[in-house]
Amino acid sequence: MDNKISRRRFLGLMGATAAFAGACSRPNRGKIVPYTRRPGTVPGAPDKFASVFPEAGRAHPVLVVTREGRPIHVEGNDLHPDSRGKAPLRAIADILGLYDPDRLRQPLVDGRRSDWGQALAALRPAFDAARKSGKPVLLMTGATSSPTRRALIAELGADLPLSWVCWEPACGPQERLSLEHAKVVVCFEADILSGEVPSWVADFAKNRRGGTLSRLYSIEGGFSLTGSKADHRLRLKPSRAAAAAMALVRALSDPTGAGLDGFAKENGLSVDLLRGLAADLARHRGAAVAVCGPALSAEAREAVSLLNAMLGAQGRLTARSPEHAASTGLGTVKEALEDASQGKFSAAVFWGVNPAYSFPDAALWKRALAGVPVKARIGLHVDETALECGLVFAENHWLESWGDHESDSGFLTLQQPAIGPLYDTLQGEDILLRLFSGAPRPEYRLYLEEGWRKKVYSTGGGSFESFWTACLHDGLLRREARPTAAPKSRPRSAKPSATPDGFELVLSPGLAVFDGRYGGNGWLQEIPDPLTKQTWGNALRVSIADAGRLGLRDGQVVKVDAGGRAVEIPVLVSEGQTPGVLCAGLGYGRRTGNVARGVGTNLYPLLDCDSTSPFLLCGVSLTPTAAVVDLALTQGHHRMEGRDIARSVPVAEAPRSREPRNIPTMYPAQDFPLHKWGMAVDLSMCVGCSACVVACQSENNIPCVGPEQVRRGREMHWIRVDRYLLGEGAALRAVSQPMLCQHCDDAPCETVCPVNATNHSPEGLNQMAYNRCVGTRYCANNCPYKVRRFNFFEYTADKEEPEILAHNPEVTVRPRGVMEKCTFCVQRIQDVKQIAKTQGRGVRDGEVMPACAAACPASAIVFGDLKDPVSRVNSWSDDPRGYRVLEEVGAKPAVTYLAELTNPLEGEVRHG
Amino acid sequence: MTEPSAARAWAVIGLFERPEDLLRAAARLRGSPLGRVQAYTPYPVHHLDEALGLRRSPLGGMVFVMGVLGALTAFAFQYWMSAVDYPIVTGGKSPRSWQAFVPITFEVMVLFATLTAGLGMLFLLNRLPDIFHPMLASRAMEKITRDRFALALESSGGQGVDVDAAKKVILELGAQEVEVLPLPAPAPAAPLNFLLGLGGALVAACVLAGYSTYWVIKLYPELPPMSHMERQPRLNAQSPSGFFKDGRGMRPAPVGSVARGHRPYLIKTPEEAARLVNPLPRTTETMEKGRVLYAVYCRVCHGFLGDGRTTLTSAYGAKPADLRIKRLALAPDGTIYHAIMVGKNAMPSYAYELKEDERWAVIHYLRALQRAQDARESDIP
Amino acid sequence: MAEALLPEGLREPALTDGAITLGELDDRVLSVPETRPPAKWFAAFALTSAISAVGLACIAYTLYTGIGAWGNNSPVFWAFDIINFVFWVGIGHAGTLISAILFLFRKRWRNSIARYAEAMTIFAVICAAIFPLIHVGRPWLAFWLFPYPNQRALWPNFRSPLLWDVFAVNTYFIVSLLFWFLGMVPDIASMRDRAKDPRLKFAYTALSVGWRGSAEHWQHYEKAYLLLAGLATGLVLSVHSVVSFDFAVSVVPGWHMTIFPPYFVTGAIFAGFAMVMMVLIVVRETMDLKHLITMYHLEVMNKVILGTSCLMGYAYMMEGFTAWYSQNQFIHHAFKQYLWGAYGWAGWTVLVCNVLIPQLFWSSRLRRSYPSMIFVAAAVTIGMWFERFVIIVMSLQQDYLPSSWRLYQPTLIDFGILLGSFGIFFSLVLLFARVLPVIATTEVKAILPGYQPAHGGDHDRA
Repeated sequence: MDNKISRRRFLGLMGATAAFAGACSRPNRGKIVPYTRRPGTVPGAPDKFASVFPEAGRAHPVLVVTREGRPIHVEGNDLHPDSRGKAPLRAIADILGLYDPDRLRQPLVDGRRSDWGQALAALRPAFDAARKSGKPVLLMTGATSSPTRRALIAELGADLPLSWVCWEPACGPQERLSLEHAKVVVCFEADILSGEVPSWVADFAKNRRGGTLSRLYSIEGGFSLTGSKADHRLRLKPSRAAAAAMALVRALSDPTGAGLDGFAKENGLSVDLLRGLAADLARHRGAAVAVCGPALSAEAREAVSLLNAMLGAQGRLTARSPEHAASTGLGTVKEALEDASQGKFSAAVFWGVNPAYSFPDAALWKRALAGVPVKARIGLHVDETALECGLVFAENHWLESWGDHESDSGFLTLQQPAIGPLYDTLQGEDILLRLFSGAPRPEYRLYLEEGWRKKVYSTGGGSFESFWTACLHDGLLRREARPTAAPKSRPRSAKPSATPDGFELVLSPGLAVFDGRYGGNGWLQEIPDPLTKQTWGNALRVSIADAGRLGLRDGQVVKVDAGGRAVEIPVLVSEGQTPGVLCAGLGYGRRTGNVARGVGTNLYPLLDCDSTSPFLLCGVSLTPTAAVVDLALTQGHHRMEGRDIARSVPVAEAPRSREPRNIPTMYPAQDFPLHKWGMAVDLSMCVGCSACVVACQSENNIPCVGPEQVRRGREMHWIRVDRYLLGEGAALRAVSQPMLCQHCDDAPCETVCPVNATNHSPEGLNQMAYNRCVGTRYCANNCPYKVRRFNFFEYTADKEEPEILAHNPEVTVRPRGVMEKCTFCVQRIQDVKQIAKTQGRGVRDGEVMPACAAACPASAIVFGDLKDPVSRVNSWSDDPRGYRVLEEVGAKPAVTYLAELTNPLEGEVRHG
Repeated sequence: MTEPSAARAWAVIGLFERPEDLLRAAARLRGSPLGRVQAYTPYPVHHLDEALGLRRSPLGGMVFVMGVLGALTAFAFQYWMSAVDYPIVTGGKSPRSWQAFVPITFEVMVLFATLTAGLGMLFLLNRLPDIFHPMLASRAMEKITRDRFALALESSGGQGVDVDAAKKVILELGAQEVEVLPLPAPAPAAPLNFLLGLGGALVAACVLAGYSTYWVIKLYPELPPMSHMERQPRLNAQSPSGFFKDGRGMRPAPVGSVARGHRPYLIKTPEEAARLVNPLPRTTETMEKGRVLYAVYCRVCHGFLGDGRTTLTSAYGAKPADLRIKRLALAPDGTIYHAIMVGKNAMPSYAYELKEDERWAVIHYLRALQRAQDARESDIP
Repeated sequence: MAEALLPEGLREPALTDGAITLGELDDRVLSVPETRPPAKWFAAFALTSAISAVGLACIAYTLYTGIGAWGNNSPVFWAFDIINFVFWVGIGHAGTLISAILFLFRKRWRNSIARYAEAMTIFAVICAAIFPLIHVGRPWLAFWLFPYPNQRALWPNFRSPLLWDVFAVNTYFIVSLLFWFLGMVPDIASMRDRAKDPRLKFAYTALSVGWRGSAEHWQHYEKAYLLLAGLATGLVLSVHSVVSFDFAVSVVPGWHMTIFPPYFVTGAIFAGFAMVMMVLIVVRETMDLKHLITMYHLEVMNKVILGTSCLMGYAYMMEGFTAWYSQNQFIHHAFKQYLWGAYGWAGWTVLVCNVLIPQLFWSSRLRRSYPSMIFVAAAVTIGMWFERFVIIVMSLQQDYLPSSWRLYQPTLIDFGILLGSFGIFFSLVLLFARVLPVIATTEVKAILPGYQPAHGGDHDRA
């Protein structure tokens, strides 16, 4: 009868309940915000966008992996012949750059936040003045590989008097190589295996797996990855490289090779090694190539190209780098700035270069600034240059930008955004387009499309739309690469230029921060240098002999003086360094940026503006100071202490068959019903470039802990690249060994966990239940490989957007006090299994790709199902070279390593 | 021989100087009809138990039994937890690796045995705690715990001890002094109040414990730095985000961009689409695939046979196309593909549900359906 | 008969200096809690509690920020935390040994120091128990180590030595507590009968569960005490063996050794005796108990220290031998760097403090002089702490893969917590010395000359 009030009471009760529920609600109750308009993307499933990672005039074709339209990972473009699915280290890591909280979020006018209307309006008068007065506008940019951008700038040049300086502060001339058919490679101070260009590593690695191995010689002063991998290293002062090349040229021309002996003697090289090298080259005419390092002098470059000409490598194995990539030298920049200081420019626009930081002559820079009335900066951050420019235009990240590029082998490659601009930013080209006089121009995307419709698109095939979308889809225009003109070689005997005594200092872009533009990227800062294992900063690498002579020790600060230009920098005593030669990386010691500021030392001030080879400094002097700093190194011991860890054998002595190791065990044999995941790593192919480390970091939400924690020994990388030195003196080599969780069947870590937080899956995975872990750290103690990582502090969980947007939603974020380690990318395994299941089939071999394997430019890592008899991982695991690290401990690791093969010259060759 | 008129007491206590005297007296008094003979000493005096003729202590047996029980319990539980209830493979060991259970088995055995020995002695054998025992009220007690040795005749069965007789006997045995504990035993200092107080305290404690437990359980997980990993600093699918202006974590693809496997469909008209050719081979698995997808997406409207007659028709009067009609049977694959992509009449686009090859597979199956309607002799294998 | 096997010194039972009556004994021992502590006691207590405050502050800081506050790193995931744990558990063992094992051996000289030793066991175990709790990454979940039914339907891993630890240490604590309390019941009873203040009297009555000292009481009591002694003996041996399993069961070179259990037990007794020694000397001096804790007691303990020290020397030797004989390069390396590694000085400290210095006690003069006792005891305490440092830190910092080798550097927080644990320990000792009978009066009474019936078998208890 009392229906109506009962309804009231019911509602009231509901309200009370709701209120109560609200009262004791936990944070972030699941709230769902779906797409309003359904795009092609499926929530929870990754999408891939073909794009380009442009860097210093080089275009790296990549695939950007997005989740719900947010980039979370970068891979190589699998359809592109220049990347073959491999992306370089910095491309993978620059995801973090996209979500960098330091990024400019809107244009600034005189340091105050502004909008585009105002900002552009502030620059236009200067441009109009230029148009009237004819006083040119200075446009300083980095080198670019984009034809359309060049066209655009040319167009702008037609619109107003423009003097365009295109400058890369850290890199010399770039090589274009294809090592695929190279049987003998001679590097003159050239680090071709640094992973900078994945395809080089890939080609090299392909020729190092059994069969007939290629042979690698490295003639260098420092100790580079290439040198560490070389079959023969010749320690030679960089200033003598030209002479060495010429000596080889002469030796090739006269079979006696008498000229070599003299050269060998005066440079302390082994005669028979040098003779052997010459003979080897002679044997392999047409299949041998010499590479000249970016730091070397012009004459060395000439000598090497002459050598290549004689080897018949021109055009086949090397190609003259296209004009655009060759950035104008420091000299031109200096002239431009001189002009600026004399007030010859009506305005200056700095786009993608940071002269305030990277131009050596600070005084001249100041004068130049004073001489220019209006200064504008187009960039991502408020960096040194931006601080001194009245106008700062916030630029798009490359993942938000359009573009087209010429890849190394001349393919036209398209760059498309994977996400709309995060902030109120424009891409550089759009800014220029808005500065044209007359009618407003279309946005750059349409400009680009228009350009392609006119220049590239050839009627005949389908409509332009289908052509255009096809190119965007694949990321490149499938068309025969334009043959690059073989350069004419002017035979000219390089007379060794008189080198002043004192040290020779070779400067190269830092592997991680390059010319300094990635200084704000924590992942990159924390990547250990493959050879020195230094993170968070640069150091001056000094040979043991010199260190002994000057009484230097690691971390001791020295004053480096090169012709009056001096900086103070800590030293790192490094074995393998040629006595009398110093090496150091550029790009550190930034003055701005929350992460970059004060990390390492800025070495640009050492550069000589008038030198043709600014990155090779001669007559350098060292004066030790009292100060000592603690370098953040991740590996303190460099030798294997006679332990059988990373094997390296000459191909002649390579094992013919797998020697059986049966370790007695008391444990029952485990059976794995469906799969048994396993991995194999070929040390012969691995060059130690560390791309796997970054890929893993990006895939698995691995925190970056900062220099202090690294010094304490608490870096978090799930996969690390161990580097062990072999041999002595000139014969010094290094073998790199990727070390990750070995997923042992009888895992010592599992037994000792008191709460079962780590245990074994029926697929042979050693798995961690993060939220069950109480953090006794016993497992880590009991891990023979020390691959377990502990969250000593709260590294990640208190991070906020935008930083956390880089996190992979598929992977749990670990809080403080929890142990973590490599999972064999279990999330990817599960994905593949689901896909296979929906398609009603089994998992195919090679379908599961852990991030490290996917990123490895050498394809040295193979992952798969050991229960599948025909899987690659199975065949690798049974390889005669195969072995398991610390097998005698009896943990039955699931990772097999294949011993490194070296290919030294036959016969007894003394190393020089 | 005791006359009922005589005065009676709960106990008559005689104090001695030296343990020897006590022993002698105890031996003599043993089995006296006057009452239960009891001795009190400041420390264990040897051979007193023999003098009084006490039974051996059963404690040893108790301890042994409980120890064994403890060991069995521990082992059984460990085995059940690790091998039966929830076997988890760790370190490749068998879930039944009993060797690992030995240490804890031993510890628990010791624990059980010790508790039995200690608490069993106090509570079971000595019937403690008994803080209101009449003896404690006696003046003799403080001498006893200091340096005197007492022999007492205590009333057994409550009818008391004959004071005079007992006094006489004990003095004869050479006790220095004698104390008489009157009968009934002097009421202990308000045991009732004590018990009440104790009870009250217990109740209060329970209430307090209950409340605190409730609040702890409610608030505990929220207190920093205690992380239970419920907050994951990452953006899951379909989750909101304060970072983007529209508050959505999911972003639309940038205008004009083309993701792998998502080529835009550029064809505008069916005529244009007619050019398209079915890239898939007409194989059994394509057919099978087509059949499944047709059943999932098309059948509900177009019907099992593609005749467009389904429950929809009867229920809502909808008129899905009959796919068997001549026009469609003759129509090129492309036009049908176009219909799937952009929809037709009331039919919406299925571009989102079906991937490219799936669409073509459906078309293959559809062809089969159409052929099946007017099959010829030659079709029968 | 057990005595006949023992050296001369142990046989002669001059357990108290001069004749002393039961009453005097009570007056001397039990009067302590009844009087107001002297100023110097307050001073000492203030000092120790200040030190413990420092320790607690450091612990609080650690709990809030994380284990990173300590020096632990990869590969040295365990350092001060576990060192201190093992150290304190070890200290505890002396107490149980003195009260239980010597009891079984009918060593009557134990009676006057047993109570102290047991108290120290309790306090040491309390200090030890702190560390496993605070050293885990998420202490608020430490209770997961106990097998309790839960909605996750998960049980702990009974194959993990850490879990064995949990059971061993908890059992050890409970048993020691019970042993201590039972021994104290009769003494509390006599305090009860001394007490004037009714409230105090009631409290003591409750605490002594109404002990009357009747013949049955004593009969069962002695039986129970004997059984407890037996069980405790087995336990004390098992506990440190289990602690040593934490290391012996693992695969870390330098840890994986079969000699560890006996080696750890001996070390524990060794360190414990040194600690008891230091405390006893202080107590003996400050609380005029010279008559009850005689020079004879101290000397006997010094002999035990000497003996165990020799055993330790043997253990070290065996370690070295195993390393050499096993021909295992990893163990070989581990042992080499104990003495010649980056922290070699720690290795030498261990040898000097634990093996060389105690040899002084071969001379009876030094066995009987305070300075040498204190010197040796201090040396042993330090040496034993460093022994655990060597075993734990130095084995970890250079294990299998040279690439992951790294030195370990403690932080101030580490030292703060170590200091604090000492503060807590001594605060508890001081408290105990004032509020409870520091000497088992009933046990001493039983062995005072002439206070057992003159006739009949041997004069021992039980």
